[in-house]
Amino acid sequence: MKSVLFQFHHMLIRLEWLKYIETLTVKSAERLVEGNREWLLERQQDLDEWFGFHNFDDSAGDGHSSAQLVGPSQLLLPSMMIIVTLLYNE
Amino acid sequence: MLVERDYEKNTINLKQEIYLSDSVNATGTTTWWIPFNCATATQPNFNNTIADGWMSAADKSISLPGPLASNDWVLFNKQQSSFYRVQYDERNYELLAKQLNSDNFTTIHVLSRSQHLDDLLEFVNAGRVKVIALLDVLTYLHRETEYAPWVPAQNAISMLNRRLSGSKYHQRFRSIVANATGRFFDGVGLEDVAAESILKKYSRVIATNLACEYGVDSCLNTTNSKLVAYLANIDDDDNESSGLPVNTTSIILSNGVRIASPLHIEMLWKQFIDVDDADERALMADSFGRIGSISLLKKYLSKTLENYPENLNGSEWRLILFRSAAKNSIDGLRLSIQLLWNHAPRVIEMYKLNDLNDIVLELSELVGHPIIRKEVHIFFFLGFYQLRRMF
Repeated sequence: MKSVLFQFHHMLIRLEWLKYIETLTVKSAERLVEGNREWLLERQQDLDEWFGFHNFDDSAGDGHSSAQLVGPSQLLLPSMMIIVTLLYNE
Repeated sequence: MLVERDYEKNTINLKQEIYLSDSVNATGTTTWWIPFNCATATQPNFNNTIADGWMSAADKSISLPGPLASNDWVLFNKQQSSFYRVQYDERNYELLAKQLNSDNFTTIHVLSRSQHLDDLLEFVNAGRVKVIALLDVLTYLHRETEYAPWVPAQNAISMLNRRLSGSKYHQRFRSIVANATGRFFDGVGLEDVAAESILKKYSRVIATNLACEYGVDSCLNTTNSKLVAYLANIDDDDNESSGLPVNTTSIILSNGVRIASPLHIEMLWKQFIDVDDADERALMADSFGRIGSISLLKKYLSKTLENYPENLNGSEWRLILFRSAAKNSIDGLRLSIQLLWNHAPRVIEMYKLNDLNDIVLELSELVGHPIIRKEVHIFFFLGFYQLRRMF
């Protein structure tokens, strides 16, 4: 019984962790895109003029959605699980 | 040094302030004794770098009479003879850009052209100067043939490419860069020339890498032809190296592969497996990360998870290929992250844990935000450690 619970616990950890890696990397990429978007918006008028555009068309970009930031709550669960597991395994 | 001209009173105001790239924290009060000299449109005299005067450490700012017509540019710190950056007012930037975009751009000394570009890039990055001042200067590059200005230009192009990527401006930006780098490449060519200067050889590397990256046909076709000839010779000589020119091996391999056919890339992979020279193998590993076709790039990135003969047992080449793919294009970066995500157990098996640690840190720098960068590193490391124990 203990072994089954142990395996189940590991499976949960693994799933949670893999989900977390995806969240972190994808969100990071989105933040980069968002950072560039802010940079562009702040300079929109100058860039439009310089490149010969008159209306900023956001849809002309590469299709990335706005960033959904990684918040503390999203960091908490996986990090707690890792710490607990490390302690458990030790 | 901040240079602000009063165009009506014909004066130049010089200010000194500590400069930090992070403008938020640039609150220091340190001052220095600063030697200054300047060139103007009517009196360039760039060869004389003796100080025209000094700003004392007690002076936060001084005002100089400006014997200048309002349409004349002024450039301080000729040939970057002293170690400080110079920022100008908007109009003077426009006047300098006008000079650079004329047939007489060499009126401004080559080292000052380099200095001006480097300072501009720094100030644009720090948010001190408008980005259009930098774009105004980049448009002169199609005339530029010297190495020194192309070094900061390369950095400026890289920054703007990253910033403008995915925007409606990007295609036009790429066209401007392709025009400039195409002319630069056509000027230096791909062949070593006897008795040419070492700077010319360095220029060839910059010109080829940039021109091929920005899709200049002559560059892509020339490097690809060289690569194909190289592969043909290897085949004829029974896997002996054909001896690519030492100075251009790197640029031929890394750029020739961009438009290479699947057959030629596979031939290069075979040579990569067979070659004994570790340096040549490293160059080839790097080149696979620059393959232009997404499906082919994915294929060869996935090969880092396969088992290979004993001579390839080391994980160094896997790391080189992975890094190259992640750094050289947005698609490559996405594919690299997907590889980590989709094949975590295999990645852990085939890559060394320390290498994974480095990879994750670099990925986080490429895609990350400063706020979560540290967390990405720590949690990835812990996660891989955990995963390794689980499998």
